Amino acid sequence: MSQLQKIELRNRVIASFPPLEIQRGLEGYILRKKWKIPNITGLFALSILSTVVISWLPIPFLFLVVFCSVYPVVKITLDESARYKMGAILGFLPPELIFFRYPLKVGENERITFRRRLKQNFWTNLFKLNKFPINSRVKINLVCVERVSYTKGTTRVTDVAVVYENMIYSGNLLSGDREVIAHFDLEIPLSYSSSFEGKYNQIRWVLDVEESYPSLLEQKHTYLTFVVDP
Amino acid sequence: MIRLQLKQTHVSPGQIVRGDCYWQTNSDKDFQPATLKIGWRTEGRGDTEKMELFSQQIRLASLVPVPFEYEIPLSAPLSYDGELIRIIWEVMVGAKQGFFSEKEQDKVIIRVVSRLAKL
Repeated sequence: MSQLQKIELRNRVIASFPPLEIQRGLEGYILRKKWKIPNITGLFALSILSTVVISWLPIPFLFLVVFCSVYPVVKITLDESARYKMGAILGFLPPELIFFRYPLKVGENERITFRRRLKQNFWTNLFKLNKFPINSRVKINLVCVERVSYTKGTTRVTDVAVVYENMIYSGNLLSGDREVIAHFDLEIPLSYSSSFEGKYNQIRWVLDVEESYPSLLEQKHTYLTFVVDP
Repeated sequence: MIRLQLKQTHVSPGQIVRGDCYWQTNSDKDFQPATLKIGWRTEGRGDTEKMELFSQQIRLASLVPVPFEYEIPLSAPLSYDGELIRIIWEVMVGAKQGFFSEKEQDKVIIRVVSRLAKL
């Protein structure tokens, strides 16, 4: 893992918060990322309005209008959250991890499924998006971090140390009917601690997931999982 | 002088910590009230956290062992020595002496280890 990837992971871990949103269903325990379908109609409206207005505005305002037109495009290109919105509009449902048993136990082998589904809505019909791209890939890392917070001067500081890291899956996603899945095995090594969730000190087990849907979307998520002593 | 003696210093969640508490004195007091506590605390870079799981008032008589036992809860955190965090389990007994004299106490660190670990 490069230094930059470590920094990115550190930031994702710092940003991730419990409580864990786990639901018990027929398939098992489903850990699902929060996925609010945002309304970006405003951004599109801004672009269209700018394009209409540009035809009669005097030159001094032109730069402002051009900026307004370009803004949504740049935002979607550069900003991760904007891409999330883009993905959501195109009909991606939240990525899910499905556990047969939960919480995880130290030393036990667990079969886990990663799944991403596609819904059928106006946008997917409009873009004729009824399947995921071929060569959609996922890379999953199991990471154990120590996360502490303390006061330094007048500011609150959060610090993270990665104590264990192991790539548990990297490969193509299997395409199904409006869904892609990947199965992988996970084992928490015996020599490592179970999860600990204090107010200022935490030992967290994180599944760091990197999804790649060529020419459509690339996303990184961290799933906090809870590990107990068997 | 107050002294703690444990039957074992390594336990797992669900197991019982057993030990005795002794008091040795030259004074003419017949007994000494004391408090026995078992719990964990954190050490390290983060702010300290502390959890007292067991507290019992005991009466110590000179050279008479006072036995105690406590079952470590299944959900208790394990002892841990990491880069930023340490989780330390302690058994502590303390007795207040006179108004001007210091508190007399003894402390023993125990290790709460995974049930899969060989004790």
